[in-house]
Amino acid sequence: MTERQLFEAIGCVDDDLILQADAPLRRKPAVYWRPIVSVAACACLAIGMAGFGSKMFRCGSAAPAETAMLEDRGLESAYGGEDGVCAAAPDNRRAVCIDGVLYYDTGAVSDTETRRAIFDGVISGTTAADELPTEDGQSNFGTGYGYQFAADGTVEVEIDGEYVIFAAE
Amino acid sequence: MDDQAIVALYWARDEQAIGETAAKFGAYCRKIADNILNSAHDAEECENDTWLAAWNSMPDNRPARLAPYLGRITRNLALDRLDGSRAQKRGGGQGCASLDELAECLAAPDRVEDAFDAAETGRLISDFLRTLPAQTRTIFLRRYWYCDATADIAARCGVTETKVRVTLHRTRGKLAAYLQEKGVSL
Repeated sequence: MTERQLFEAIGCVDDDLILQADAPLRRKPAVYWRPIVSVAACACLAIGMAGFGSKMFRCGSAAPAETAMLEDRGLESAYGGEDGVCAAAPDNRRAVCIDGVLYYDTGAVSDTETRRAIFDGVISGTTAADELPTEDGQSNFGTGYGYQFAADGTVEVEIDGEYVIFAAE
Repeated sequence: MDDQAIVALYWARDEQAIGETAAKFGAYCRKIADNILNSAHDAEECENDTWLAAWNSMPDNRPARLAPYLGRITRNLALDRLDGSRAQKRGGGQGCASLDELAECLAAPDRVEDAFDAAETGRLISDFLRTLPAQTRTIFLRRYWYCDATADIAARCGVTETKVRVTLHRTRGKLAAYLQEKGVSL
């Protein structure tokens, strides 16, 4: 097939699709409750992590014995399961690992009115959906997704036309 | 005047049909032609050619909606004119960027196939487009049916130009995979 043939074939798509693409777009009205929901979701995650205690996430504050144990197991991330293998993603939740930090899908979509024109990075690796990513720039739901860091410490990942908010736990 | 009334004029061989068509769809067709040809003069000639082609095609055809029907005629006429300009090395070497981007979907661009059914492939592409989110579908069709510039698409959809380009890149890849899965030789 040539580009011209493909171009002609695209010309033959259904009329209703062509007319829809020419219809005036209705901009979604600003939904002011979304930032509240995303902040509440982050707060719930933080409270949940506090409840799990110091076992789960370390930022260089692990006790020497625990640090040695992590090193012995060869874990690259400060987050790992008790048996040293990739931890299972809870309920197959989408997650990304960026700069050594795991961010989880909060289920919220960003409604930022002004957005920077370029991504801060692009997801370049992936693990299975039931695993947690352990390498930088890795997800458990595919590759090629651009992301931007938000001012509140979350990461907004562009998925199917929307910026989904991921928060660290 | 609504589309059915205009089509009735064509079927009655009433030349008022041309005037009504030009009044209602002139800017629409001219925009599509200009997007492809990048020349206001050539776009105007293409628009006039569209009215002649419409006159010659009705009766026989009775389109339900004139906008996509006339837009298709204009697209193909504009592309024929672009091919002619390239052959004569006119136009400063300007091509149709959206056409060039479609080469990414093809395993071997410019390879001529013996059998190609545009209508059937178009149906497959329609099925594919219906699996996409509305905004993605709009971005794709504005680029490859209407041949809008990415900046215009970004302004229309209220997104950044980067997002438009990334969306188009991903959608082209998905389209290529979909067509190959359906047995279309790329």
